[in-house]
Amino acid sequence: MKKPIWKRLLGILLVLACPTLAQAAPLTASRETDMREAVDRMTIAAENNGYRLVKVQAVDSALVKRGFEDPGLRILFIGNPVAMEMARTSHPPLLSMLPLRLALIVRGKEIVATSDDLDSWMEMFPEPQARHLIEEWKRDLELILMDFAGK
Amino acid sequence: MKKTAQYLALFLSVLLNLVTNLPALAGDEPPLLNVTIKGKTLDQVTESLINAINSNNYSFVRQQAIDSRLVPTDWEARSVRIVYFCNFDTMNRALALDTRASEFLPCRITLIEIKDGVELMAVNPAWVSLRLGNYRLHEYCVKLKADYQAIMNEAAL
Repeated sequence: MKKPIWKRLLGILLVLACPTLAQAAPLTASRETDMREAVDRMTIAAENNGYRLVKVQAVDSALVKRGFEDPGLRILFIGNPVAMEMARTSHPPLLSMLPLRLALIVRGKEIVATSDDLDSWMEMFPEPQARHLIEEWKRDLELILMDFAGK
Repeated sequence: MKKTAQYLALFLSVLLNLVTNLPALAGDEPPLLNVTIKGKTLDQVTESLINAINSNNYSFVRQQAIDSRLVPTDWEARSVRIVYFCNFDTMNRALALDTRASEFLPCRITLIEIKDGVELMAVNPAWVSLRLGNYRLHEYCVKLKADYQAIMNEAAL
């Protein structure tokens, strides 16, 4: 029996959608709070997991100060000296990804925290040593984000 | 027949959306942008990089050792430095397109001292945007990549 046309079209769409589904997948976590408390929570979460807040890039206030709309976004840079040294000695191009970046984005009453997409970094640096380090950072970021979310 | 036409219209609109949001199928970008500058010190290259940033209509934000605030100041690595810069107008436009633009904002170039000079490295924003699957953001990132290259090349002169 011939398949209905909508079933055939749906099949084609699913095939075409596959690459989309495989695209960027950063780590995320959220909690109901305001930006100021979110920065404090993230600082503590980072410290609980051996990282230190290096810099808060207040993109929101920088843009508002210049007359632009508030994007509700701050970028936090976190690092730890061991990770830095490991990257420097084992695979210096990895230094271009450090310190690690976390974005805090206002979504209604929540703050959503997202990391860079570390899976894509593994594609960027497929060498075993680099991959191992990135996997470690990814695990650390997962723990930090869980801590931030209070889980 | 009418139902088939409706399904066809829906199919075509979704297909169009997929195609415009899948620039990865249409392009190929290197993940990193690199320029090697021979015969200059890290301080000299930092200075010429900041000049190049300013002359390309960007604002220098700050420079720091790679391990700044992670170790006491006296222990900071002297051989690896990061220079941050930004153009607030384009940053505003990129974030309006997609908040995931925060993955490459503010702009940063890492300077690494090598045996006979300095290597400049930056993550290619166009490579990042290909993965994000937003065609309009990717267009912006292609321009941003060209700016990175112009700045790095000018610093190398």
